[in-house]
Amino acid sequence: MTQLFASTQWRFTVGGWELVVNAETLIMTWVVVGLLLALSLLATRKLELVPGTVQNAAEILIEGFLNLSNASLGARSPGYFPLILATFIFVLISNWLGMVPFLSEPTRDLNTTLGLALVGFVAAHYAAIRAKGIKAYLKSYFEPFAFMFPLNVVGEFSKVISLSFRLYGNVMGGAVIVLVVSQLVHYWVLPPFLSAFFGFFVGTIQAFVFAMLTLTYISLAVQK
Amino acid sequence: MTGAEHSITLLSWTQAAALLGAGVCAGLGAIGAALGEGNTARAGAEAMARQPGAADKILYTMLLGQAVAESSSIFALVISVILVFNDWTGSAVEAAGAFSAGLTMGLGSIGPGLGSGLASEAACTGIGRNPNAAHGVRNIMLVGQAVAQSPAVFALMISLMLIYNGINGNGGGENLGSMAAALGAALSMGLGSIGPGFGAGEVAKAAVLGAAKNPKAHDALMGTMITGQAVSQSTAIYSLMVAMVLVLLA
Repeated sequence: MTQLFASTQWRFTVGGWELVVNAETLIMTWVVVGLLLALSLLATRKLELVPGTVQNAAEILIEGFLNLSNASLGARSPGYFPLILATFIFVLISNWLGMVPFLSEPTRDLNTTLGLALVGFVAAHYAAIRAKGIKAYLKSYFEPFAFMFPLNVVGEFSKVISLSFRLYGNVMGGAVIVLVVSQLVHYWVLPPFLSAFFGFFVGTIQAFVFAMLTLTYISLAVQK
Repeated sequence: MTGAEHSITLLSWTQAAALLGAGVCAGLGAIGAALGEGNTARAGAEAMARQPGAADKILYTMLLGQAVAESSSIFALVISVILVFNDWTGSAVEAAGAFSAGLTMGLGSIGPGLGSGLASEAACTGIGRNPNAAHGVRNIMLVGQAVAQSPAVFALMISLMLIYNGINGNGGGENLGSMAAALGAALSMGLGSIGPGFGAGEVAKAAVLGAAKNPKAHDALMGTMITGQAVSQSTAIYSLMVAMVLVLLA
């Protein structure tokens, strides 16, 4: 069971620095990217006014997120809406990948979730600086009282940590639970249903929570 | 009884402490989030009974709020799994750190779980009263929940520091002082996050209910809520600082 945490690693030495890459996570991420590209091509191949199945599903997804994004961000929505939708669908397909035999979720690695959270963090702060200008942005850390500065800074970092650990914990925790229960029931009946619960239900909800929280953080940063 | 020699090595003490810590962590970690989510579901059912037309909005908000409120339990699960499956090298500092890590995260997830549950409970009630305000209510709920969970994040950080402290060898010495410091850090951060988590949840609950009653006050409520939550979290920051001093310097 300790093989859950161990992983094959590729090491490169670049100019005196040693780079270590988790091989399985990287390959699974490529699989997700390949799947997303294939789905996108499938959905936009022959665009018609009365859409076929894949195009219809894509339109539902885009319209849903566009409504959410417009309501939160208003005029700035077109700039950040693609990031939110891309985050959602990347995390969604990543979480679903674990249900396929011989494949594992790239979000099972804290590196993936931390990277995604950092992208959202940078986007939010960039949006804040662009919307308010750098002076007002820096000043906002001292509001409403000057001694709140350390609290505000810590609060920003804890957003990144909580976002990344929430997704990582749900995915990794689900995988561990499925593994432990499978061993307890000697792989009889229960494992596929548990795997489907954690993969579909929890995976979808956590993907949505991740995207919604990223959207909320961006809209918060732009507002004040 | 024969005079058989049983040797309880330091490694087995460390593993015992880690397993005990994992149990404490998972056990305590289930309390806050489960209560919070249960309250949310209760409020959701009541709201649906009052306003059947808004049932799908209420269900969606309820599921979203429950998923976010569960975060603190997930953090506790992560720490438990790490404690069970980690390879220990067997030292007194590691043993104390392992048990303390479990205690920290277990205690540290009670308050934030309850507090986040309060926010989502209020969101369900509010949408039941005013379904048109659903979007603003959900926004405030998400932000309030996320801030109410900061103490759980702090507890997670302290737990990870306690687990991996022995590796760097900066855990001080193999003496009683270091072991007591680990336990002290656990109590400091663990108990110190009960109040702030719950208090931040109360703030979020009031803000969410206010946004449902008066959607025009949404921005003012969001600003006041964040400010109020940040000030009430300050005691969690003090606990965090004390815990960090104990872990790093003792």
